[in-house]
Amino acid sequence: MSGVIPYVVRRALTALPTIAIFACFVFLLQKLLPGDPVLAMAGEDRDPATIAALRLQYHLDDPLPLQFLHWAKGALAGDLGESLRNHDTVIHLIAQKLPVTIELALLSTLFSLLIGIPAGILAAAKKGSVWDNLARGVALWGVSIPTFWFGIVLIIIVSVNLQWLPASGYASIAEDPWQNIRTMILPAFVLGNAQAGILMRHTRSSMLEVLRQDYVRTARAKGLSEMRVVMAHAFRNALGPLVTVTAVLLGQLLAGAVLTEQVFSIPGFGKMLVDAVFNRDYAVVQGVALCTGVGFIVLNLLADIAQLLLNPRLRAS
Amino acid sequence: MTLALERQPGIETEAPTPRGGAFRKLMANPSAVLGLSIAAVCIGCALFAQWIMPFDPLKPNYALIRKPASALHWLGTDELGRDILSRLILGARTSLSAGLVSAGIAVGVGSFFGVLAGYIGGTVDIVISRVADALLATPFLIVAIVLATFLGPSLANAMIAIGLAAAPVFTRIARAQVIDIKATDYVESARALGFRDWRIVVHHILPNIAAPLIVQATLTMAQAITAEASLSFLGLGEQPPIPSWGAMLNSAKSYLTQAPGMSLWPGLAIFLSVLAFNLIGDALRDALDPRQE
Amino acid sequence: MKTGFLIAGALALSATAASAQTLRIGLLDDPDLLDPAPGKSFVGRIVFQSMCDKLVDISPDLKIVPRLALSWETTEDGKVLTFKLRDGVTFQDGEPFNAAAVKYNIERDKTMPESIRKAELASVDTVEVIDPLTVRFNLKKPDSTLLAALTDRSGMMVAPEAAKQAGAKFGLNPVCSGPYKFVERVQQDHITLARDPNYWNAKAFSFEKIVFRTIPDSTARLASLRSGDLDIAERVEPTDVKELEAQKGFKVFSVVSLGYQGLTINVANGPASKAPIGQDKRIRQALSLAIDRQGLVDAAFDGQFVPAGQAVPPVSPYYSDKFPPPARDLDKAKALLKAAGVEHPVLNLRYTTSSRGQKVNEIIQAMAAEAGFDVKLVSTEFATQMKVQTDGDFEGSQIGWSGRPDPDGNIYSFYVCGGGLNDSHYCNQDVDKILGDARLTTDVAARKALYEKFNAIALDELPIIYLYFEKWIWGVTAKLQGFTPYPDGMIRLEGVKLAQ
Repeated sequence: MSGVIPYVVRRALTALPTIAIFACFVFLLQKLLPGDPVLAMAGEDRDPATIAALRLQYHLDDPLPLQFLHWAKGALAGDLGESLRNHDTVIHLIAQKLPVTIELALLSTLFSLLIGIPAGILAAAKKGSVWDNLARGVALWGVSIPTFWFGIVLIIIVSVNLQWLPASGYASIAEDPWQNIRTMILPAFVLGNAQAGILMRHTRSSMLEVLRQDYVRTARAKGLSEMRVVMAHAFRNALGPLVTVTAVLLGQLLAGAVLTEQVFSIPGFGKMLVDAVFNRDYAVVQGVALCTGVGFIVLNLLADIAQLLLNPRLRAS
Repeated sequence: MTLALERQPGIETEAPTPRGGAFRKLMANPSAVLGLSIAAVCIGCALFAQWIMPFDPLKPNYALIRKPASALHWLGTDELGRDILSRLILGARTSLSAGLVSAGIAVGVGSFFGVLAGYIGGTVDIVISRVADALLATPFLIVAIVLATFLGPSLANAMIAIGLAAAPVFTRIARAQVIDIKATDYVESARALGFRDWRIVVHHILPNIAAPLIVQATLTMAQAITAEASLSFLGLGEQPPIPSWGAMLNSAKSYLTQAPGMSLWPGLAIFLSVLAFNLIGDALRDALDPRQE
Repeated sequence: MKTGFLIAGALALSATAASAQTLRIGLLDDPDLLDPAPGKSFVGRIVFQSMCDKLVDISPDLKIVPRLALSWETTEDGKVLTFKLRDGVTFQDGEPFNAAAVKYNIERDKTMPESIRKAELASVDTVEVIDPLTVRFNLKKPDSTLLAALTDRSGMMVAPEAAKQAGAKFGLNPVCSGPYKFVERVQQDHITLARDPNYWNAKAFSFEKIVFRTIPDSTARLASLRSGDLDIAERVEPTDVKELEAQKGFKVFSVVSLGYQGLTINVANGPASKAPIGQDKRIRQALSLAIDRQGLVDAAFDGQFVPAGQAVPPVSPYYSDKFPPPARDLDKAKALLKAAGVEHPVLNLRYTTSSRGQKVNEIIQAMAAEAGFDVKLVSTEFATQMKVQTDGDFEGSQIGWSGRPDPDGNIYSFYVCGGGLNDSHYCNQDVDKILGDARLTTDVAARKALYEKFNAIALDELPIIYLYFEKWIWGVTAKLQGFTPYPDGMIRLEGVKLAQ
């Protein structure tokens, strides 16, 4: 375990400049977007006095580097600014949506693990056979089907026609856990479906890699059943890269569920981010981007640590 | 969303077998053949649209709005009375060019920086890697949306946006490959002999890193087709009246209960073309991987 | 004995509780800040309708009716407007509603930095408290549009103490005097209001709670209605109407709205106005004649919307029968183009990205092509569109206006020289005089005559080509009783109940 702590510290330190560049990059990109948030904010009537006052209040006439520094200073102090659209603090908005997003991301990842990993193991164990192709087909379909289309079709079939599940909306898990599950199942399934193919592919190649190893041949030679060989020996060692991939997928889901959230009206980060981009709600975009960027990097770090723990051989480096 | 991030140890570092054997392996793989056939149909539609389309895909016909499938209009008509089959065929052009051009941009830009980082090393490497990491930390679709919004709504801009958003993965792959190959005796001796750097890169390094890049490129094509559909779904891609499968899906979404066929076909088209390129990519990976029997 | 009473009491309470219902309304958008002063969204107004009472309101035929103000009178010269206020009204936090509160609110609307009500109240000079139930508005000049403005956010009364304490953050926890008070809000998800038992007309409102849910996707919103998760869905897509009407268990209400959709042509705003269409009214007239408005509405909206030929809708007392929507006339259009010397004018037409916008504009593109126009469509997202228009970076822009009860609200700022909404930079001194005069008198006949004079000029010069009036369409559960559609699109819940 001794090598792990300095490793973590080192990684955390190298992550900091990445986050800084990332924040800068996001800031610059959205400031370069055409259009004017104040005009969009000022209402249909566009009163010039209001517009001027708004510009002043949000420092929108300052030079860009100054605006970024202003934001960065605030961010370090824990103040991520306010939404231009409804004056709610960005922190409050994030606090409201983060649990939703995390829940959706976790549920989706769960679905993708449940579909992708068994498919991958099966495909690897029975490589080249009909099972291999079937498993790959089933998981592939998830990756190829457009999520927004799949989501809408499911709503029509499951919610409107069969009336099994609600068509949209969200109930927080604290308020109403049963309703919460009911509203999250479809979107999580849609997203999980999409990610399952990726997990399947990685599981399959990781397993194939491991199944070739000497110690596996030894296990087989010892007369252990194929099932034990696959599950007990091969899979455990194939886990490493899988952890990484799962972490990456989870990270991507933090803000990437844009279209699914739109279709199912789930109040998560993805939708908030895209709406903020379209409304030029700078502080919100910055805040969410920062949050997801940090989250992604943290997840990656955790994944790498998990790999180290699972695979002592890697610690040598 | 197709994840294009490869972080598996081992697979990327060995040089692949010569192409000939790979090709035979590819054709022997039934899913590859399936993928290639579907892709061929799509490409055919895109190239020969003018000659295959039964009706004018652009002109509205108010008498025929949202008619179901019939002998005349095999897939029915859309919300402005236009033949869906014709629009689907022309839409292939949008989707495939988006796939091809975006993937091309991604490979070109991404690999360029990756080779640079891997070959030169030092500060250049650090800077490029940090930027690539930062981009990879952002969900692909978000980057594409922001870039497309910045550039303005058009197919060309959507392709650039998607290409740039997909580039970092190639940077990472190329860099990893270059670092491994740079250390081989082959390259060391070339340098010792005084060969110019760019010659080494072009003649010795590029051919050997091509394989994983090609595999990733086909996967990126699949990703790009979905991305173009997503951007069109949000109004950021090809402008009307030129059809795009994503935009057709967006329009169809308002009529799901009245005219479900309208959304069935563009969704299916996107699905099949994406599937095709995923299949090809997977099969290529299998074919080019030297250690699989 | 006591236990007996307690039990009886509990049973009685639970009986009323059993009939306490929640009304669930599906909104197309998420409201912005829930403060009437900076509030700018349409859906925000829907929430305000139940939460914040206003001085006056409108009737379904656009007459001004009492609400918090029982009566009002204007002096001869039109410069003093005095209101007599309703007695016994309290704000939701217990503060009394009186003339001082009205004064506070108007001043707040006029001075708060984030307030966008200033233009509507520009004619108000001072507000005087005569006695607790009488308040006097002293105007800088006569303004017949003021009462209409007071039927909307400018006339909404917020609790003064609560507003003073919260400052700009008032909208996060609003306190008004309406039938329902604010309970909680999850951004982009839902807003909950609960009945205020102290409301002066509490018994007219049967619901205990109202939950507004934001479901931007129209298909999903309709699906929620059909699956029973919503009782009312606002802005049902016109193309969904026939199917919904055919379903048992649901009803559809609709009414022509106060707003319009049209084409704004840049006639003098920067270099883009130099395009032929901006310079020659004959080309604009040709474009207007090339469009089959009824065909457009039939093709894009299943015939649910209504063709438009002027700025105010048919329900308005100021609508003029002399200016019906022009019928399509391709021959005349082509003749006009020939006379103007440009048989194939090019028009870059911007529109706000949306599936509805795409449909409508594709139809316009195709129809105009038949007269010889070469229309290029440029889909622009909303934030960019606003800037593009003010900057004059457009030749034509397909855009609408949500509409105001008073015709001045649909016309003045769009046509006067330098008007705040006059993106096309149209400028005609005669028009300025007519529109200015129309603001000075409250006589309906006189104003109507003035607006007809206005139409004669505006509909000839056509800086704005009117296309169609939208309709507000509500899908409701058949159990809903007492629902009345209003042309301002608001949901008024007095007397509305859900059958068991």
